[in-house]
Amino acid sequence: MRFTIGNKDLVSVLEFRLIHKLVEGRMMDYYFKLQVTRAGRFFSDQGIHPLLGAILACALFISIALYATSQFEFAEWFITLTGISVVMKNSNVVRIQFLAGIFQDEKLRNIRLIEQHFFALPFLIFLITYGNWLPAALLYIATIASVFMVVSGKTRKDIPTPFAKNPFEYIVGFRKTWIVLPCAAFVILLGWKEANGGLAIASIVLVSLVSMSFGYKPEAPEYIWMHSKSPKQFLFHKLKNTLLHSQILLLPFSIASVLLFPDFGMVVTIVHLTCTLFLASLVLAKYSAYPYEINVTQSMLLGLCLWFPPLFIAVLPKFFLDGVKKLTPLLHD
Amino acid sequence: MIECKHLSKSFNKLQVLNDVNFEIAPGKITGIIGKNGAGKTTLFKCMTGLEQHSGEITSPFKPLKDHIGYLPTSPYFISRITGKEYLTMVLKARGMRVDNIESKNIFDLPLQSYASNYSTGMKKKLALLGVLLQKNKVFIFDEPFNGVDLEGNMLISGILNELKAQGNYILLSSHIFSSLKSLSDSIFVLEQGKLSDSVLPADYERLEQDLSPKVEGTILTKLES
Repeated sequence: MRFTIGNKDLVSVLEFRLIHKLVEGRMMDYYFKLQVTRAGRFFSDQGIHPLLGAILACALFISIALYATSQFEFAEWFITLTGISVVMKNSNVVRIQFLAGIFQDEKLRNIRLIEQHFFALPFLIFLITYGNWLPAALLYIATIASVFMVVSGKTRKDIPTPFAKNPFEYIVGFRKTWIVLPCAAFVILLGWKEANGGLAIASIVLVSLVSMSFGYKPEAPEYIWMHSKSPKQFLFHKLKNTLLHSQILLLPFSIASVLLFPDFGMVVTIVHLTCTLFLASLVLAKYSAYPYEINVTQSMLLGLCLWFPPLFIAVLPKFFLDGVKKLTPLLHD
Repeated sequence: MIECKHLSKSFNKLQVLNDVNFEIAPGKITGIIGKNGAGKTTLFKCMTGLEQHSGEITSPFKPLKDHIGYLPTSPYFISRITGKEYLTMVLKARGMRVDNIESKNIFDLPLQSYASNYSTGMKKKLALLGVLLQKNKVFIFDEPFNGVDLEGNMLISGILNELKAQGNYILLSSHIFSSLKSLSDSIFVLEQGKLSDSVLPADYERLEQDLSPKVEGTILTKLES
């Protein structure tokens, strides 16, 4: 006796579905294996063993989260927002369109469901461990929602910037992160309302952190090659732009902090100068590593400078000279 | 005259260019043709100084790189900078004055929009406008016609002829043989990193026949073997 579905034999239909599932399952399996390989390569490229890298990444996440929780009143919301931004970034249109070209709808949804949970999990575990149920619930809702969302991130509208005469790092950075500036202003006002000068300092650090993200990644060689400058002239040009442009962003916050908290004048000045020097070092560090990204040694040197600012005196010239060497093949003497 | 002598380049053990010798004359368009992976783009990058190489390049310009306008196959644009800002940057990079860019917008590009959002053809036109505004003397065009609309292609052909008439040095690669043969004063054939042939206009038909694929049977049946 043979069972049939429509005009098809049931056994062959079941066989087909089973094979289909296996193939799809293998494809998904391979996709996740690839992601693990990519993550491993990320650490290997930095000269770190992948396993050690994974452990360090976990330790770093826990340390930052613990530090934030111990130091700041609304740290749980900061962690939640970071978690949401991570899962939303994963839903960007280019990535999803790429995956949609490979996987069928159902499979794509499953992949995104697994991925988004994977990225949200560290944040969720941390929030739940500390009993922050509402932020955790919001993050979880955002995680589920992100599976069905595609974030474009593109805007046709040109956002005006005060840096348009000198492309490109601060123009690009400003347009990507301008939203942080009103947030930083809000933090200063909050500090003023609560009579907490520490928040004013935090706002300066926040603006500096955002500025640091503007120019730490190496640009395409064509963007260096096009300059009619020697490596030294090029680095001085970049340094000058960084120093000038960073002041346009930092000074309003530093001045407001001094005006609102006169007792913090000295601290604000030290933080402002340290941040400015750090930004200058960062841009030189970028070119000292060119064409690669800033490596672990350079990051450690930068970290040491923050811990002991007089080190800038030695680190700045070192990065400058290394940068000259790295840029010589692209620029003339 | 720009002379490339014994130009060689390898990536680890892979020899991409092998003892390439040729000259580019002023007021002439020198064409380069070769299969994908033949080494054309590497050759251009070596000439511009974007890639290190062995061998020598001599030219009347010192330094040569500051007189080269290089149009890559797929020009890269940083996200969130407008077309106008891109042009401002390329002019400033050469220490040139930036004024009235809009009036020089020969391709009618939306200069206030982000360059990274442009279509493939618009990106190419913007990059071309940049190298033209820089008033270079040497032009290296890697597949300038790819992705550009018909009107744009005709404009580019016209521009190439004008640049030639002005006595500039022009090196052009294209897989569109009809464009290449109508524009070039001579064509070099690059094959597996070596210059295998140098052809003058009288022999372009022969070259076209040499380059046409020699396939036995139908192409798609090969996929089933």
